[in-house]
Amino acid sequence: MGLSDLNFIFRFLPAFLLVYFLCPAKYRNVVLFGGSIVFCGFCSLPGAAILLGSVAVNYVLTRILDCRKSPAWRKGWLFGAVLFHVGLLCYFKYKAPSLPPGISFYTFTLLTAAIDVYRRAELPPRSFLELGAFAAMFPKLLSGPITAYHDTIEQVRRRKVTAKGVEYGLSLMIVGLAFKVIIADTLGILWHDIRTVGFESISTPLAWMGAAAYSVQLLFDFQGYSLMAVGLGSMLGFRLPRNFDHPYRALSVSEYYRRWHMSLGRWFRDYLYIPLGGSRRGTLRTVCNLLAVWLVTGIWHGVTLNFLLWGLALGFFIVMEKLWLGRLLDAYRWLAHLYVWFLIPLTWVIFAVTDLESLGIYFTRLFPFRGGGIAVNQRDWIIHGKNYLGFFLAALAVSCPLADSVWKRFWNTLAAKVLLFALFWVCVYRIVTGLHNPFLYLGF
Amino acid sequence: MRTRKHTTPLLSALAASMLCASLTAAVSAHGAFEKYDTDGWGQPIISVLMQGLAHRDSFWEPGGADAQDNSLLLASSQSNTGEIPDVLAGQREAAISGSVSGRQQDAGAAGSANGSGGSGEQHGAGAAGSANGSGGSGEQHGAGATGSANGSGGSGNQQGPEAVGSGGQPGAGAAGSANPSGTAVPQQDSAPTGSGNNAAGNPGSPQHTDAAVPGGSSHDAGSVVPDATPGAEQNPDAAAQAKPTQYAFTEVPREYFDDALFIGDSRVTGVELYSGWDNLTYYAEGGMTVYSMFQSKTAQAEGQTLTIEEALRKRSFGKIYLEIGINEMGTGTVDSFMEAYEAAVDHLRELQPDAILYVCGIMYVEQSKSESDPIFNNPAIQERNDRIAALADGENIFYLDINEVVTDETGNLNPDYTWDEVHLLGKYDVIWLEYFSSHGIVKDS
Repeated sequence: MGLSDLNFIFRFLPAFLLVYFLCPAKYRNVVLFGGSIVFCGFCSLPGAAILLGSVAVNYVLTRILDCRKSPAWRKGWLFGAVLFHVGLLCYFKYKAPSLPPGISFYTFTLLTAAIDVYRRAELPPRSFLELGAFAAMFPKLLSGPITAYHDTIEQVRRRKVTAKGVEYGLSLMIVGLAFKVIIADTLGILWHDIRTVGFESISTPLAWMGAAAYSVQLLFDFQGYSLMAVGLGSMLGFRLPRNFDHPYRALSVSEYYRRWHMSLGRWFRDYLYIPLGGSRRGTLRTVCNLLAVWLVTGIWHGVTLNFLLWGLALGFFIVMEKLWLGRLLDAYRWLAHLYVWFLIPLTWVIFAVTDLESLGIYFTRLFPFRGGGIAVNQRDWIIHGKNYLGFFLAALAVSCPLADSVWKRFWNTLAAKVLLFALFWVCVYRIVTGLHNPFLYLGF
Repeated sequence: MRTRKHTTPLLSALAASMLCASLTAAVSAHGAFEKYDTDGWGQPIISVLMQGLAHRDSFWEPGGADAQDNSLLLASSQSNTGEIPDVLAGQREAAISGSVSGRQQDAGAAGSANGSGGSGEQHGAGAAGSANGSGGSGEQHGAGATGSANGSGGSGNQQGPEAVGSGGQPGAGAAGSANPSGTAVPQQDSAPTGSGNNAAGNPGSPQHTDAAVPGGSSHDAGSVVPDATPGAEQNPDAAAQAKPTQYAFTEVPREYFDDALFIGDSRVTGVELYSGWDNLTYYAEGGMTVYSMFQSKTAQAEGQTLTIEEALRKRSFGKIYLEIGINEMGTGTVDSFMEAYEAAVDHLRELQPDAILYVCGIMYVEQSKSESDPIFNNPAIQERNDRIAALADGENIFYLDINEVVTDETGNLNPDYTWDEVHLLGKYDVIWLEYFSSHGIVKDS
């Protein structure tokens, strides 16, 4: 049961909200934690058990880490905590036949609790319930945003549900749903069609269109999910961090990844890059640290070689930017835009095509210098272009700065509410007619 | 109207509308709206609300994950209104009638005493078994008792036992005596319908010695030899004499297709785009169904986009290939599908009386899909193909089965040929036309 699932929208969510709103504030964490476990159970029963077990172990570990023993002793326990969580994640990601829902995300969330308590940045959770509500809350359970313990635990303890928060959250949720169902899923069909035709047979323009389609699909799919999560959080009284900040406005690959899946990037910065020494220990060490972070990022997404390649390619460009490319990009903004818009879709192709042979074929279609291609139709991009141009333009329109200011100014007007209401039912219509996919990031 | 302290207009409006929708859905689950034909409104959501929920395990769940996935794959916007049970029921029914007809067929075959010996000689034993047979439905084989075996074979070949229950050798039992091809016998049992290309069964008949693949056209030879006894030697020329206008498949050049039209769904759009053959005319659209085929606005004529109906009234073709049927799998029964299919074929004949009409069997899906999908699986496809094959009359309508050339040794769509388990990869789309080239009908006029 994902957030764009009709059973979630029409059954789980209304029932949950009713109980949650009617319940006195001090019991809301019980409702939230219980509801989240039920939600997880709907996705997968064993998954719910693994989630509960993970939270329980983490709770014990944070209590242990809080006690006044020697630094070495505490360090040992922290090591144990990291080993347990990372080991569990690795087992399920790379060994087990199926991935328990949200494990990649809540494992990272739970790790922040252990590390923050170890660092004495924050007090340990006062109760199992508190930790459970923090780590398992259903809006962010399946695909984040990954919230750090020190950022969120205070809200778990004290938060206020307001009418405005509910309306704002609901509006965000509908926008997120529309991003996902209308834009991402439609462009997903183009990518699917390209796979169906086979990479050998697509024309070069279509290959580029496909790279763009997949990039936009991934952005709107994940951004849509994240908006829904933040919106749901807002309805429940939380202020969850935003996960996307218009990545395609970035002027370098490093900036792109400060704007893309921001919560994961922050996590890697705070809990991996900086502990490794960050950029304060000389150029060589910085380069190694960056590559290490990107290697881990790649592995986090998957173990097939293409994810490794993807992470390392990004690491390479980010290192280049740090060394000398950055100065060039700073000097010429237009060049920087072109660089990002050219390079990023190519990296997403590496991300999308898990089989290296097919990946090679795709790149020969993108750059047909040596000919190649079998039964290529040179005009296929025109046919597809006609069908999908509108959706590309819509994606562009809602991503431009004007859209931000319009949203900020008008979201709470009657006109916006009527539009959002209509948009919601359009989305439901599209879900009912089966023109949609599950969220892409559920696979990670 | 801005949100004030305690008002939540959007939430209230949504909650109210969702409540109404859920109530409607709950009521419709009890069949309250079934008498209204909401499908015709062309709005799936209304259908879902008003009637589609009755068959579902859970309201609001369109079909189930697989069905949903499939409707995406096939780019079909129809909602799968949970008619899997009907489909399955239809299958069982047909299986029963199939076995009945199979028995009848033995008798009928005895009458016609055809063997697949001829084809066996031509194609090697294995191919002989498969090339003949299949096709024909239970109804038709009632006639088998009179000693006729309506043939319309040419499908279900090269497949193992689970291969959609076709590939039978009609008349093989009787033919056993006249038939040197021993391989036919073990397959006999698996033949649900079993009818053969009787012409091919006439050893030595000049008519088919040059046929590329026996089967495919249906030859009503049974009536020719009503008094034939089991094991009797057949007059090799009898069939040919009785039906001088029957045609056999032959190799045709590419120019043959200059006045050909290929109508069909997304599988044909693939051929249009990637086969590289542009001398054919294509009226193809992803998600096209036989139910709304003639209204499909896919025909380019004189710089305009017309519906197929309009286009066929304006322009005439020498050959029409019809490839349709996969998108219809999720809705209706085999009977309701065939009713629409037959109507479409009749209408095509009416619009283009001079065209040779080729009806194509539905192409199979890949094994993993076939085994896991309650709707899009090869037994269900073959069941429909058998019925489509039965439409062939050997004179104006011919049956072609692409599965002869795109299946692997398991009898399912070759996994190397497809990425999505349903459509051919672009580089293999030309197989369709190569197959058509080796199965042309040439009428001397």
